[in-house]
Formats: sequence, structure tokens, C-alpha cells
Amino acid sequence: MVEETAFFAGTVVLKDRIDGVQARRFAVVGIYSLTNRPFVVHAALLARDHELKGECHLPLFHMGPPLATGDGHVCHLLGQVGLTNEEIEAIDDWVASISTQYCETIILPFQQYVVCPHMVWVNSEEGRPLRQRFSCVGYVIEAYRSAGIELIETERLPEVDKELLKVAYPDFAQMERIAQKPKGTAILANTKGFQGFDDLGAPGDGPWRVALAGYLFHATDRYRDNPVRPPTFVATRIEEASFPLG
Amino acid sequence: MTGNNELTLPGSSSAAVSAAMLAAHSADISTSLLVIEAAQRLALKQATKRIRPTQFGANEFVRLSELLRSAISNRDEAVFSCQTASVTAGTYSESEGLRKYRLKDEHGTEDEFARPSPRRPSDLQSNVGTVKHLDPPAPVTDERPHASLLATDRALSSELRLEALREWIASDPEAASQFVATELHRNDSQSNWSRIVIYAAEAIRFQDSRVREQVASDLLHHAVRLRHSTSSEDAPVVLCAIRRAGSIIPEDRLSEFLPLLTAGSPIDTRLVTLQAITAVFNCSPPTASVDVQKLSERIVTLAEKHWDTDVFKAGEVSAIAIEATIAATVLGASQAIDLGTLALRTCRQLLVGKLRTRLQCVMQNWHSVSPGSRNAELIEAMVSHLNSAE
Repeated sequence: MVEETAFFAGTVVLKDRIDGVQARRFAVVGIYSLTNRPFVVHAALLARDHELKGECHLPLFHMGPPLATGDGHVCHLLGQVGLTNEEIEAIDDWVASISTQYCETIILPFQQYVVCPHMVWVNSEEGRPLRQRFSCVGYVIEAYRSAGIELIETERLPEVDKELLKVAYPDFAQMERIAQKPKGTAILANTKGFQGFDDLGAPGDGPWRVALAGYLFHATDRYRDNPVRPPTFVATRIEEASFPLG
Repeated sequence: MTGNNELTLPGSSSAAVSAAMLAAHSADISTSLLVIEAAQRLALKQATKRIRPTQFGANEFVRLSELLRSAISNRDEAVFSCQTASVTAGTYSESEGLRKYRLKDEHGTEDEFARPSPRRPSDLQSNVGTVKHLDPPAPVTDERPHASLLATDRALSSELRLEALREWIASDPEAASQFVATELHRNDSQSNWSRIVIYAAEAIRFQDSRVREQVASDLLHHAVRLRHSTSSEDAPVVLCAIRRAGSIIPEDRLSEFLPLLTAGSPIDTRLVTLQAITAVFNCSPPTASVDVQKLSERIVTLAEKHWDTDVFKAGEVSAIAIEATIAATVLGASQAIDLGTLALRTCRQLLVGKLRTRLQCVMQNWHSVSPGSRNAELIEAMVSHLNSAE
């Protein structure tokens, strides 16, 4: 059974709720595509308890990149699962342990990021764990996993083709265009440490099984009015990258 | 002075260019682009006369690195040394949705500009959002000094050397790694450059194990020194140095972590140091001949203090308690089981489960290389002890 809480569970589209929504720390927040609402392009954790009135700037923990605490991002979606106090403490521990990996990205920013899978460990020359690479969705997935909550099934994800990936990652097309130029790849490597799409987990022409941000909000919405924790959400079609479904 | 949306600098055009360059490295990238754009619009027309103006179209952004390289090739000292202007801290005005910065030239004259509130983040946004500006108007590769020459030139600004170092890492990572190792070993580096080489040590691989050993030691030396810094810029540098050191340090030099396990410095290094120590033994248990007694004692003390009911709470304290307990167990501390008892007293099932899972992972990793070692047996006993909570 789910612990009693004053905070609602489910997913809320914030522009529909100007009356005020109580959001608890570590709720999942989302940002829509600039040009393709309701496609969700970014997911993060709410950094502290907050009363939300419509779409608003929120303090976040997230993988931007870089891995960071963020402030001032306008958020459009809120997903809550009715976290218990102990679950919040577990995520708090996890966020603290990950905070030692916060790092400037002045050398090679792409070292912190990965598209697929949602998280990978980077090992050193000695085979020791050095740091993790996350996608924005991966950061949220792993945070909730630390509290024993599997938001989405990461082993069974719909295939995403290149066109959709460009929607999910609006700058992907631009990078691809540059990378295809004679010295484009070198320029990206020199300036950003970009080592190709293979390095980001998107080799070849696809399709790839990518955890998209929208899936998280379908997952959290299943907690609405549900006295029993629902099973892990299994995304079955790429349309679920949008919330709500069109 | 102008309004908030434009940059003007009463000084020379070189000063404007320098201000733009310095701002580009001092502020975030979207601010940098605004500054560069403004500098180009308002001042660069003069400066670029000496920087092959055909490189820059009227409506194109100037790519910073191209500008710098051009400045160098034209021996424009005032431009590339960045000595003629500085940027002071920014302020944020939420009501206007604008972020304001002030620029000051060499005469002390200040000017203000603003940029729109931060862009909405999307995955890769902070990286890829700049990509369109990386598209150079014309290739100049063959006409500028080699990246290695720029990176090693101490007369150049650290910002310019950083640009060159990035390129060097991409084009010749082995040579660049040797250079980074050498730079880490120096003690006379300026603070900005010192930060850059520490970050660079995480971005590259050191093929030679002797070099790795030296790099690890040098990184810890920097961490011990920098943890007393009050600059917010140094906190992630220190964490990076310790994390990287833990990934390559030989186990017989573990005692070099000891000074980093104390409190009292502006930058708290205890959690990352414990993580680094645990990382050392992720794949195999400590060698019997290595003396870890002092380190182990300090870690046990840390764990006991952080599990104390008067101190314990979620977040960093809890993370330190968990990590210290894992490190103590891995190192074979005789008090490990007692630490497990303290963890059980928190009555946090998720925390205990996490502790157990982490130890089980270590045990699995060790199984193939050192089955049945004394430390492995201790981990097994600890896991059983933690299971007793269920």
C-alpha cells in the first residue's frame, strides 16, 4: 500500500493548472519541445518542495548536460508517484553521491553525456569506475531506481529512428550536418570532445532503443488515484514520447 | 553607455575584442555568443581589418577560436593576451527576465549588457546549442600555429591555451597526455591553467603505468592544496582531481588520501575521497603486503561519526556513512560488522538494501580474481549481517 501523503500522484500539464499544485522534492518535471508540443524533450528532478502555478521556473537536479543543479528553467510537466519519506531520503542520498561527479565541461563536454543506454559507467585505464554518463532521462531513472522504484522498463523500449531522434534532440540534425562536412567531425572533436554518434550510443543509421523523456510522464500518470503501486511502465510505441498522447 | 541589449566599449577595438574573448571564457556560452556578436557588430569592424576581414561575413558570428588564431597570426598582442579588459560578476533580474553583466576596459570604464533569460534545456542543448556557431566561415587550419605550440606557450592566456589543448587532445591524444602529465607536475602554474590541466587529466588516458602513478600523486597534491581555496571554481576541480586519482593510483600509495579525509577545509573532500578509495578496490581486494591500517582506522572513525543518531540524516551525511562503511569493509577493518549494526539502527530498509547491493557487487567482482580472500569473507559476513534486518 502507498503511504498517505498530502501530495497528489500522477502527471499534470502545468499550463492547465493555474490554481496551484503542491509538488514534492524529487518530483519529475518535464519540458516540452519548442516546436512540437506535446513532445517532451527534457526531464529532471525538482530540487525542493514547491507550489507550482502554471508553467514556471523551477530549481532542478538534472543532466543538462552537464550534470548539475539548475535554476530558472521553465517547466511544463510535473509527474509524481507519491514518494514516501524513506524514498525521498534514498533519492537524497543518491543525489549527494552523484554530486561528486559534478564537473565543468570546459575540456570535453560530451564525456558526461550518453543517449543510449540511459546510463553507462566510464572505467579508467585500470578498469576502475571513474564516473557515469547519463541521458537526462537516465538521470531520473537512476535516481528513482535508488529508491527502489522502476519508472520505465529500460530493457524493452520502442525503436526510435533518426527522424524522431532529431525531434527528441533538436540539435542532433545540426550536429549531423556539421559532422558530415569535410572537417566537421574534427571541429566538433576539437571543441567539444565529440567522438561521433557511436560514442553517444547511436551508431549507424538506427533505429535505436532510446529512453525518451515522455515515457516518464506516462509512467508517473499511472500512479494517479492508485492505492497500489503500479508495475513498471513498458513503453510500447514512440507516440508515448508525447504527453498527453495526441 | 547604451541600453541593456547592446555592448559598447569606449576603449580601443582591441579592448572590445579582448573583453569579448574574456567574457566568452568567463560566462556561459550564450552570454559569450552575445558578447562576441555585440563586439563584432560594434567594434570588430576595425579589429578585423588586421584579421583578414574576409573571414567574417557581415551577419555571421565570429568563432572565438578563429578570432584568437587570427589575432595570433597577426601578432596582435593586445587581443590575444586578454590584458585589456575584464568582466565583473553578473547579476540576475528575474522580473525582467534578463541577465545583466558588466564589462570593464583597461581604463576602468564600465559598460553593461544583458542577455535573455536562459534557454530551455534539452538534452545536448548546452553542447549542441553552440554548434551552429562552430561552423567556421572559412578554413584557416593551414595558416595558424599547431595546437601543441599554442598549448605549450606560457606567454599565452590560459583561455587560448585551453582552446589549443582541446584540439591537441583530439588530434594527438598521446602527446597531449604527456604534456598534461608534465603540467600537472609543475607547481608554478597559474590557477586558471592549473584547473584546466586537472580537468584535462580526466579527459585523456595515460598509457604508461608509471606516468599514471605520477599523475595520481600530482592530482592528490593539487587536491590537498586546493581544498583550502575559497573560490567556488575550485570545488569541482578538487572533486575531479580526487576522483581521477582514485581511478589510477597504485594501492601502495593509498595513504596519500589520508589528508583528504579530514573536515575543516572550505571544500569538503571526504565523500569523494571515500568513493575514490572504494573505486581502487572495485576489481580486486587489497594486496596483503599493503599497509592500510591508518587509512582504515580513519575511515572507521568517519563511519561511526556519520552513523551517530545525533548526526545522521539523509543526503551527504548518509552518503558518507554508506561510503565509509563500504570502504572499511573492503579494506578489511575489524569493526566493519559493528558499522553494519549502526546502519541497521537507522531502520532505513532502502539504505540497508543499497549497502548490501553495493557490497554484493564488489564480492562478485572479486570472485574471479581472488575467491575466498579474508576481505571477501568479511564482505560475505557483512552481507549476511545486513540480511538479518529482513
